[in-house]
Amino acid sequence: MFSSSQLGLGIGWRGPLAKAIQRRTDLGFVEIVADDFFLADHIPQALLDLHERGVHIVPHGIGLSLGGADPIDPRRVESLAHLAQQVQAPLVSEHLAFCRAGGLETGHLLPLPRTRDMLDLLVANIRQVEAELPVPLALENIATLVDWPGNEMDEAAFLTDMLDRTEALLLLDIENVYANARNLGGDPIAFLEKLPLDRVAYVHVAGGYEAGGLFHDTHAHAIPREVFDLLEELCCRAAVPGAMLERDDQFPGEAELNAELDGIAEAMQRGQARRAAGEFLHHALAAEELP
Amino acid sequence: MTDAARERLAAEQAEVVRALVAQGPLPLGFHEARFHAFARSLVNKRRQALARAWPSLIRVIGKSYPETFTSYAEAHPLPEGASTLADGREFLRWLAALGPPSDAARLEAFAFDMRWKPTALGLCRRGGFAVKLLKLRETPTLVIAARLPWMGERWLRVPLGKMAKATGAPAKSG
Repeated sequence: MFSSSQLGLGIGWRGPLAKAIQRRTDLGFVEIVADDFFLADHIPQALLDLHERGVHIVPHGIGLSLGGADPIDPRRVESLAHLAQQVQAPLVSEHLAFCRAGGLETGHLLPLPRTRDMLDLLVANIRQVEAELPVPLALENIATLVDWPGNEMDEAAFLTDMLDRTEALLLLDIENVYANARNLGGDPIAFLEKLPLDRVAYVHVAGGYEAGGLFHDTHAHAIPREVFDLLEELCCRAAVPGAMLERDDQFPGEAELNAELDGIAEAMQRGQARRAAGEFLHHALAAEELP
Repeated sequence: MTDAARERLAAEQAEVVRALVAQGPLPLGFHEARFHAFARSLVNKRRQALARAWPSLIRVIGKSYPETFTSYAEAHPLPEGASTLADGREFLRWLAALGPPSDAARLEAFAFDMRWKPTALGLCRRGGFAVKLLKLRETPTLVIAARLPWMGERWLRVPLGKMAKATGAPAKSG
């Protein structure tokens, strides 16, 4: 299983943030957009310097289309495996989504129909990819504005079944949990409590904004208060190995960026402190007593 | 899973993608307003990604960029490989088909073609020796771009009918 049990605080490494990231001394890991490196001839020096300092580098794929009914492109899997070796990654991650179908690209992560057939296909694809990767694979829950008609189960049941049938870990994006609860309904804490939280590899935290009655997951706006609170509730219920900030556009100044990273670290600490004080001990004990 | 189940899923996914990016009909049972909001968000995402990745192209297009790009993107899905710069190159090609492009737009396309090769995995930076020529019309000039081993790119602008005079290359496209 996943050996690097403590990733700690992290951030999505982006060129415009490189200097601020380099100056931040408490980072345990950075995530890189794997697909941007598939055809690159070198790894940027700034990343090599971080690696030299002991900061883990986690390649995060966006275009594998793991839930796609078309066959997985073996070149993408090979590239991801190669990149994992190049940066000595402790794990790699991808999404529970599909990106293309019928010969058309969307450049985006599309939701999967939550049916038993879809689960069978997804599990087969994940196992095939896991067999080719030198490190564990963590998979991320996505945010979506639309759900398929004819879903046979809720998202928590879908994720749990996928985790039961594969070796995969969960990359839990709590902003996506928050966004889906707002846009599609449901209680985000109840959702978290239904998941096998011991399978969480790390957590994504990001911001978005509301427009036209919908919450848009932009990674370009401040993290809402509710998302920090959700992170605290999560860390109160499970030992989470790491959490990171995802910021992809409208890059803030260094002070604002640091304040968001501090906010993530503090929310984790608050949750961990509540957990250490035994707030959710009865949950854990009750779970163990189940047959 | 059975082949029939896989084929059914493939058909359903293709229907959703066509509706989202290729003006296909709304698939049965989806929330119409939400689906359209989703389709619009995909176009916005492409437009913003291109503005970020290729600012000199956006300057060439000028103020009409948002509406012009939206017209293009609504009818043209991302090129294979889903690269933002390749999307920009297709956008330039679409614009050129509408009417004669400005020299500035032609220079952007020329610089892209000099440097990048679109592939199914995204863009691949071209290497090795190459020479490309472009004749500008507005101020008659011959642009000579060369990629030389060890020396990288060299650009030369030759005013037509006058003596050669070297100047710099335009801003890097990515």
